[in-house]
Amino acid sequence: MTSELASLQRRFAQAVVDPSAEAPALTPGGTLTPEGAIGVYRTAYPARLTEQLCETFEAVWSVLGDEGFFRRCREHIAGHPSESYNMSDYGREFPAFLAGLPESGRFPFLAELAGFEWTFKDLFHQKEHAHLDGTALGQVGQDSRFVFGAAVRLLRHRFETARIWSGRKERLRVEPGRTERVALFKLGGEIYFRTLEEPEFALLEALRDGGAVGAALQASEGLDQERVGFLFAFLAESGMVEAIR
Amino acid sequence: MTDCRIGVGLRTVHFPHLLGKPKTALRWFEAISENYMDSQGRPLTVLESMRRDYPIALHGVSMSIGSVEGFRPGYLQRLKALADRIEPFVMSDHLCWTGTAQGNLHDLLPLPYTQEALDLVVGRIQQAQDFLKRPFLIENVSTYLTFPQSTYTEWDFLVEAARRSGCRILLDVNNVYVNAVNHGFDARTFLDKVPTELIGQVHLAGFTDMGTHLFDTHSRPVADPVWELFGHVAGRLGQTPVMIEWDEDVPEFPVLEAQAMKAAQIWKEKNDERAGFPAAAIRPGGR
Repeated sequence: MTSELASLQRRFAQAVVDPSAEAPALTPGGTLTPEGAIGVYRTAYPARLTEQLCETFEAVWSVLGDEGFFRRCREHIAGHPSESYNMSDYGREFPAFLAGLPESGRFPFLAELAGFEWTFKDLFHQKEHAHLDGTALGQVGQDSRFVFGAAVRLLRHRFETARIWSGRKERLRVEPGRTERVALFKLGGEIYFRTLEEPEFALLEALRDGGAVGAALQASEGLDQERVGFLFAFLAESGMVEAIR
Repeated sequence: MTDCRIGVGLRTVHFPHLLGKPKTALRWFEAISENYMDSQGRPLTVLESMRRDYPIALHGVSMSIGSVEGFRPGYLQRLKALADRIEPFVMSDHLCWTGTAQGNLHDLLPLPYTQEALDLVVGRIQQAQDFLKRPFLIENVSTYLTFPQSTYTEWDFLVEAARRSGCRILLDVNNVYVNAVNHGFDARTFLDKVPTELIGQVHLAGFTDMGTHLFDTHSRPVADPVWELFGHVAGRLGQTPVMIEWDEDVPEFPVLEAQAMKAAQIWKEKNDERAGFPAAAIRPGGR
């Protein structure tokens, strides 16, 4: 990459992301100055990535407000160039970036909320798996094992993050110290989630991890017949199970 | 001569409307390849549904044909997988580059019109065509600067790239106008220098006047001077597909459709004119 074109592209790209870098020789269009002409591209780059972050992290945006969110976007973009050809991939590192910010002291759920939004987006692009119906689920034996579909996530949250996400347009009061267990799944092209109590969630995790139904039920504590019935009804409605082995 | 092969860009805000299968005179839709290449979500489902009813063109924004670093790993494979699924009637991308290995700038960046750049893009287009094995078009882009080392005009560079690589041209009339104003050349000269047989598709869109330059925003109706330029070229387009792009502040579908119908009307008038057919209707009883 020692050609004239390679040198021009390297210097041009550097000048777009770093205002202090010297742009290659250019002739500005219209009545723009040379600085103004490179500025057209310099402005467009962070604007596009910010737009992408806004789209993905709507709830984080709502929590931080316009000024706080856009400032953090600028800082994130400056330190995290977009490497993918697909702009939709941008923002994977944003939750970790937020975790290190002072705002996470005031909003301790911030990074978890961002992670939830990223997972939500990830699931949106995931292929929807085949859904096993209630009849098949009703015929499982003690040794049966469930295969969960690819478009399912079981999430343990340190905060009531899904509730905060649901109320992102209303500014909900956050109760400190309250955790949450969430089943996130895709059904009919849409993404849904449901919060679960610990015994139900633990049973779901055991089943997702390939445990036999009988053993998983035996290991579950605090679940009576009725609650197990409700959980299996939810499994059927949500379409989370793709197959039974 | 049959009707104009008029289409519009497929945008997510119009999905609900289009899934209702509205009656429309539109003949085809253009989808942005990258929005579907890595997703198995609802957009792809909608695209497949649209494909059952209409021809689809796949238009890319990230091939980075002019990058010295070559195609990004996996890009052509994913694009081909999408094309094999959708069976587009044509595929296209831009005569530009979009970034370096260190970072994708997600912009249509200008190339210097030099022999080195020409040799590079010709090789890349051939590589893409060989891999995709489908008709491929390159589009002229809007630019806000040029490079003093250029030895070709933009139109000569574009035409030469198409001729040497064996692809055809997606002629964006709005981009021609924007560049003509920004860089001070005659837009009609540009259009006249592009041989008819090389034009594989036409784009029309709106720009924004920033005071210091015209900016290709795709956020407004097609401007009057761009309609006039389209009229200048429309008579020789034949059955070349024409489409309206609108990407920012996207209006309700009927507004977009009305722009497309205006393009179809201009196309018809110019083709009638070319065929010697009178432009105005003969009044009943008139001599």
